Amino acid sequence: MSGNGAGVPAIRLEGVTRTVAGREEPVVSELTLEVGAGELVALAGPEGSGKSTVLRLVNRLVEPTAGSVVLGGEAVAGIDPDRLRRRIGYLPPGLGLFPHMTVAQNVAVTPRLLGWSKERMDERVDELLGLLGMEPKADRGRHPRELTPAQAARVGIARALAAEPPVALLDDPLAGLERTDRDLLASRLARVQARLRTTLVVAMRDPAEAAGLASRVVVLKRGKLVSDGPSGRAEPEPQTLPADVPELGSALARLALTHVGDLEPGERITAMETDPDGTAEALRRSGGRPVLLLDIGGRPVRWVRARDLEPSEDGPGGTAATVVDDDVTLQNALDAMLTAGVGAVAVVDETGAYRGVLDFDLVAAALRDEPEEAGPSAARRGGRRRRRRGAPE
Amino acid sequence: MSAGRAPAELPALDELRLARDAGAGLRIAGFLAVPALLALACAGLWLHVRRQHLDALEQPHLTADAIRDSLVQHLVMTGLGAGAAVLVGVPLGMLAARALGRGGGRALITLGNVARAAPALGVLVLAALLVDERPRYEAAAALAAVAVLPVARVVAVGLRRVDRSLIEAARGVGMTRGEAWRRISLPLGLPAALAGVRVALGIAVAGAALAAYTGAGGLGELIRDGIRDERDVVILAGAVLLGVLALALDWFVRLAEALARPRGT
Amino acid sequence: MGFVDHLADRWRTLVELAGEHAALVAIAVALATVVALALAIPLRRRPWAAGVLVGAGGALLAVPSLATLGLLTMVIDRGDLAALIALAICAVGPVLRGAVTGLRGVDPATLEAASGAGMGPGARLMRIELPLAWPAILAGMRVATAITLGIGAIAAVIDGPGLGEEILLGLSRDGASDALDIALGGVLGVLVLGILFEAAYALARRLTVPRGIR
Repeated sequence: MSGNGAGVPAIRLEGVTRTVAGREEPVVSELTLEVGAGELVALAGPEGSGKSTVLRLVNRLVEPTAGSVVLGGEAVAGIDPDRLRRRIGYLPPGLGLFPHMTVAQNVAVTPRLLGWSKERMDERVDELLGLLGMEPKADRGRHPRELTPAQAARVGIARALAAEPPVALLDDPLAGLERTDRDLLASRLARVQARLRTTLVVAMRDPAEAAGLASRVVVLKRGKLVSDGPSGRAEPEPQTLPADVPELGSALARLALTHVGDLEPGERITAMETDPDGTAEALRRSGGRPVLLLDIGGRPVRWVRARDLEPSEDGPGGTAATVVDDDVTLQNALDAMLTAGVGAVAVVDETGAYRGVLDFDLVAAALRDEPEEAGPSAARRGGRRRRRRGAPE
Repeated sequence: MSAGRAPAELPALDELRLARDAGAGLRIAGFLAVPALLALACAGLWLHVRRQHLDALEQPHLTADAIRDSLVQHLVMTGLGAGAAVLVGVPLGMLAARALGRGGGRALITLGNVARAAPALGVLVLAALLVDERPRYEAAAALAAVAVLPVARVVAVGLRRVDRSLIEAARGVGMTRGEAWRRISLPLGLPAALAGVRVALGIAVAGAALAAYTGAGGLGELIRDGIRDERDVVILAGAVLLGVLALALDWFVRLAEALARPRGT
Repeated sequence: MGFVDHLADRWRTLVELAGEHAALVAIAVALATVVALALAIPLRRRPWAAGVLVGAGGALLAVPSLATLGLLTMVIDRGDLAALIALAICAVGPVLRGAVTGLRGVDPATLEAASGAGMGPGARLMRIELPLAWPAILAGMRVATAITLGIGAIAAVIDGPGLGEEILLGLSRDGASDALDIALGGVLGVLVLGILFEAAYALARRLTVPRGIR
């Protein structure tokens, strides 16, 4: 982290007001807010609630009319704006990717301003793209207009985090994405934050959706603080998943926020594709269930049953194997199972090698159990629900 | 936007909007100022010439009759040349606009651009050498030839905004062909056609000045003779009158363009 | 004597005059670009300035070049210099329009991202705004070049350089058998220059516009 003592908040707004010429009501009104180091906070509120302005006050894109903004114990008003902004990650609304730069150049923009070496920049770009679920090798040379909205949002987030800032501000990074993409990216973002321990403030419109991302939600309305989650929440264990989805709390919602990597895949009988005798033997042992054939690299190729081994004119029989990796949500994995016609998908590691199999039973079991988290997360959920009812939104 | 605030700051949306309104007001003010400025230039020229003691080389050019004749000659050449260029160039541009949507658009833009490089002076000279009968009409024909492709180009580019799907949509909601033309194509296409008129007039009015060198008369004669005889007052009179004429024509067409532009574009 | 023989005969003169013509136009457009950027860059955040600059540039272009040239000869004795400035004045309008459109067309979110990433005003201009506005500026230069090529012929009326000399020479020999050939050589020379410049701009666009916005 930033090296500050544990007691010093990463960001502190003290009675901050911002008024704009020609508008009677202040955009932000006497707002006092603290964000702890390493905390993930969602800032929610409708259009015009002042959440964007709050973010922009922190990195001095706008200046307060009254009050002060303190970053790690230092008043931002005393820091040169450009130097300050190189220390704070920022993603503006609408992403604002640089269309004439490649993905890698976009991400490395602040590191370059800071004079990082090329090796260090390349390494950081690959690391962040990987963490955010892109393909560093294939994607780093592409241009923004070649990206899907979900990919563009990932690049924007990577750019904000690139210079290893202790604090990053993301202004509605998920806007304009489809529902499933939003859920996917929200859980991904929470995991990345838990891993990097960056103090992260994310502005979003919908408080319910914000609650899916962060366990502390600050709700603003017309520049005033309406509600604030418990600031003293227990720090999550680094490997703990942010799958404590409240309210959306049905099993189905959890499907979108739990990943294949969170489950232990099951065992299945496999055989080498190039070994007919071994395949026949495996089919005998499997007792009628399909057998997964692997290629010589250990990668799943297709599922076969006994009848598929009989000679046929259509080439090799069986069903092409659908594979998923750790970062796929259970929702998408389930979808793949339903369309694959086998009722199971193969789980692979980063190299594409077979790691196990996921089927309906495993997914159902995972949704039923929701192990070890039940106590505290239920309590948190209850608290949040009460807050939301109290909010006028 | 105001200078008093911190320089690092970007203007908020509201502030931008206010400033933009101010910009529109300024533009309207500038628009209204043009006729006044042009009148002022003419008055200044008149006062200046009156105060001069004119010699034998200057006097013949600067009588009211001589200037009126030059002006009429100039207007005839400009009007005929621009008129012919519009009559051919605007329909050509409309046809080309359809090709723009498809493949051949780039080639047309390039052709129109290269055609802008055609030297009006050269084409005037060629016309004069070829026919040598009635200089004024030859000049008008030459100017029309020079202007026609640039006119077609600006019309085609302007019409690109009129999406064909709009016409289809209009037909789809039950407009007849004629209604669709009157209520969709015409209001959206009129500004483009007027831009074509403006380009034609600009090329013709400037080119007609060069027609003085092929013996067709016009305001260019004052400048030509003034340069030849080294009489600054004659050059000044020709240049100011020519400039005022060109800017007045440009202003009229721009006024028409502003009035014809559908709201919301 | 046919036109082809005429060309073969006067080849050297034509190439020389074409070189002068091209240089005159290139310098004028370069000059106009410097002036246009010097006006458009400082005023790019002033919403009122866009209409004023584009309007003024359009007015400069609307004034007939012979009028500009005539006025300039009153204060400048050298024909080539007067011609150069007259052409540059005509060229400012299109370049200014391109520069204003290009600079104002930059997405505000992109600018905010640049500021938020810690770029100062200078870095933002050089790394974000100018690269993004460049295609529009280049398009303006391209139009300006075509227009000044055509207008450049009038430099000859004040004994300036360029292919206009050949055109006026043809005119002065009205009645002689080679008059038309000489004038035609001058006109075609300008059009060939137009095609060459057009090709040069297409190449410049390929080489200088980043792939992401081409």
